[in-house]
Amino acid sequence: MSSDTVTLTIDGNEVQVPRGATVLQACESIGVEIPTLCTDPRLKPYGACRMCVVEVQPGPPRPTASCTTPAGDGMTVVTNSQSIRDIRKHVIELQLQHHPLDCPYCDQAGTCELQDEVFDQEIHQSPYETVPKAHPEEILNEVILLNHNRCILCGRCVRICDEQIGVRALDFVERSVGTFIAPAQHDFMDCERCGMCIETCPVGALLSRPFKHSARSWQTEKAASTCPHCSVGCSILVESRHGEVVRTRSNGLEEPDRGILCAKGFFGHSFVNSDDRITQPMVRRGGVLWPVSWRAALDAITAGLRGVLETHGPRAVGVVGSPNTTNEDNYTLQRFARAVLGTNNVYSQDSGLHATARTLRAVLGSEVGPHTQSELLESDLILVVGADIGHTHNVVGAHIKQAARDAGRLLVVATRLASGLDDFATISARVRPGGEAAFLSALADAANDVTEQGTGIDAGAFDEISQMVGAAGSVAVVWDTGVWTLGKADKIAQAAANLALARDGVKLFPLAERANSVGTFRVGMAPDLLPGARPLADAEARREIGDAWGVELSEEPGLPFAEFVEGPMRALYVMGEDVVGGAANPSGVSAALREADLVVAQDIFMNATTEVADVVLPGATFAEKGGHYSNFEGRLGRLEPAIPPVGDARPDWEIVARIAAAIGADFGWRSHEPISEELASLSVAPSISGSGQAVSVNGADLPTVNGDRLVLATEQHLYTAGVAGRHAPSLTLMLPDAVAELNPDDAERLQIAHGDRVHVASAGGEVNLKAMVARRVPSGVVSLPDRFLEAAPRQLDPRSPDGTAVRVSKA
Amino acid sequence: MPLGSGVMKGLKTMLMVTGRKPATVLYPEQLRDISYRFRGQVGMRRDEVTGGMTCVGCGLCETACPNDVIRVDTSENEDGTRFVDRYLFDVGRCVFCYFCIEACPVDALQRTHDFHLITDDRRGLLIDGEKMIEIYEHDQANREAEQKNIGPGAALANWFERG
Repeated sequence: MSSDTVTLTIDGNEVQVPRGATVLQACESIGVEIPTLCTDPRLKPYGACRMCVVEVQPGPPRPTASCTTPAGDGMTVVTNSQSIRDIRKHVIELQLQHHPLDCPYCDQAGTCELQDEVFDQEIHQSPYETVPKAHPEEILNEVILLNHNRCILCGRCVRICDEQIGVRALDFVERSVGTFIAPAQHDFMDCERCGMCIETCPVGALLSRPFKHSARSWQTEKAASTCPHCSVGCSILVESRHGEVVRTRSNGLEEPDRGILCAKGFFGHSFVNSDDRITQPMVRRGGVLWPVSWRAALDAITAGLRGVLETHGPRAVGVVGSPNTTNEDNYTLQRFARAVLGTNNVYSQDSGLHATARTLRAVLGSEVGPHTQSELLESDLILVVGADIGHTHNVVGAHIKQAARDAGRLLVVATRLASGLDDFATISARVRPGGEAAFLSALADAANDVTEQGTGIDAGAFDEISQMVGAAGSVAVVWDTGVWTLGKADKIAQAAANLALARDGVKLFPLAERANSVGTFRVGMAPDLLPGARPLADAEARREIGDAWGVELSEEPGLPFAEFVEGPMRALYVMGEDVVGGAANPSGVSAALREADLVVAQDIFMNATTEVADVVLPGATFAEKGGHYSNFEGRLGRLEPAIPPVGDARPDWEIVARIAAAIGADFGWRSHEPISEELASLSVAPSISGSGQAVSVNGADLPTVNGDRLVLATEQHLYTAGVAGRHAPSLTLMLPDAVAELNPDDAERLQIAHGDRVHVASAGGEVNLKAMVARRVPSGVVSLPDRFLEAAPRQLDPRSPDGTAVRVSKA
Repeated sequence: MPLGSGVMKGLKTMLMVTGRKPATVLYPEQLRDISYRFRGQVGMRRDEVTGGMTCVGCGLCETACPNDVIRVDTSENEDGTRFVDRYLFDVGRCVFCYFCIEACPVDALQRTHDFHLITDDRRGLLIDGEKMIEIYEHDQANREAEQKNIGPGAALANWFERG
């Protein structure tokens, strides 16, 4: 018998389990069912409910909780004797003394674990006098509600908030029979609103306010899908009823989410059934968009495209894909552009991830592909640089916290704003916006002298970080490539690559901003890329893909987007993206689109691009179509349609394929599966050897901060999720307005109170926002959460808003 | 067969039924007698406190229904309780199995003897909770008149129901 397993006897059956497993796990491994209430596979054993009691020999002469007892060699376990059954029945009967029998009103009925146990233990009447508690329901925050009467004090909410999320927003209050659950610090629970306490609650004590009383749990149709809000790609269960998505829940314990979600994943689905959705095709006639039939809209598009192709040629036509749509959608659009229209003017708007991926590929080569999250969490040292991962990629942030605390990983946090990760960090330091690349570059190269003026980090803290990184066996560098890297993503990527070149064991984890940013790169939504992110210049790749499509691909790469729009553009097809609102100069792009012969915007909500589009088509959201997202690891997250598309909306790939068919090139696709197969067969990873050259990135001196001159930081907030987030009522409740976050000291100096209107002005422009005094912002920085109003930070500096000097004054 | 036997048979039958009461009635002016256990339209009890539906929106009737007749749409009330936005009952699909009445935990759904489902528009067969209350109350008012018509076994049924 090897020493890492133990053998025990359960109800007469011998079973071998790894050493350290609990008796409960041993029982489960051979299919012996033991009822539990306080057990959650995500949580450590706790032993609160005493439902899982068993008789253990040798052991204490009393029933023992199997969930907290480690399995030992030679143990004899009896799980189902009469006395054990009596104890379990008593436990439930005692719970029912206080638990109200309001199952017909309770949202949890049907998924309630207490209800299941009452049936399993065949309890029809309580032998005790029942004294239901009658506390009013307590509203903890915008989305979470607590009903004390139903609480069974299993502590799962308290533990999941602590162990998995690392927020510790809930705790037990008072003692003995007076114990209850309450927000740990305040009456108002100002937590991350991830909803995991609701998810784990075995009874109906913690409830989701947006979902409350909208459906019974057994009435909903369930579809296993993927969260559409960021590039972590958590698997979610979309529950719908009568064609309306009513809630999303976490689905399974697999990677990448490992069973937890964030506020966006749990509450951010309500945009799907928003009243603002585009529900039918529209064509602009006399300056006004008129609802028309699909036939009329497709006719208008084919006529327009044919006209432009005849008079101006394929160079005047371009298509824009989107990281909000699936790989299949983007692939269909790309094949339409390259094979049918004959143009290489193929774009997507996620410049941060594209620039990062290109730089890393050029320096390190293509074999250093995306790494998995397990590799990230198994590194000896995790270095988080730049934006606060707790906000941009909350679930990865939660896993990092857990790895730092439970697995003993060193965690170095060098973010610009104070982060939830700080509490778990070995060292945390504040980088000034604009100094991130210089900081990374200096870490790579000891000779590169770091100055406080260049990075914002004082020399002492830098030396400590530098020593730790030098001593660690393996290092994971994690940074968000979201909007804050605008105009400097390649610099940061180069600096990170320097670190990877300087020493062994460094793995880079650029986290993409949106659900399918990585997908748009891999599918090749760029003027000089092909499916599989193979370079267009590669003749072999062109031939292979051209053969598969039955055409000869043009080797002339498309123009960069800005040049294309200002130059030869006569027709533009935009899928799921706001090219005007997201542009460096919105008015210029808007004017160019007005001038163009044909602009088609296919989207789920009206935006600045649909304002100027000639044809507007209703696209489908994640809940209405099949397909795949590629997350930051490159893992494919599957979408499953949960509801039929609202109104006349159609899946995006289908619309593009129909237009292609109308022009005369029917791809023959009737579902998304053949597209996935074709894409997979063409996605041959290119072999590109990196230059291997470290290029020192010297940070220019950061702008000085004094008086009302502050540095601008723009990163995504936890409660913002782009256009979709603005149409999701449950998310807009959490953060109703676009805000400028200020440090309390700065606010006091500038005499700005919480909630005041403020002017934020730069050399380039100014915006007017609501001020929010927040401790997470360090002194000298003003933070504008982006992806709320896409245009706001860009009005201050169109190219690289993050890190510019701004003046803040009370409006 | 002797000549004229058919006529005799006919005469015999005629003589047998001449003394009986007619089996048909002049509907809708006259109605047939209804058994106490007759399964008519499902009605809804009015809540004495709120004056609206007694229904609490638990959705059990919807779940119990074998034929997708019922749809209950609920939302949250101001005081945090469940509010029934809409109770829809598609009589056109109902098979009068009364599973919904069995399932109802608050006895909101009630049996009635109402069988007047005739309509010239199928949309009229999709009724809401208010209409169901109306049907139930109309039926209760008619029960008095029906009492005299109850068939044999009513006493036994009464005993089973009321104990």
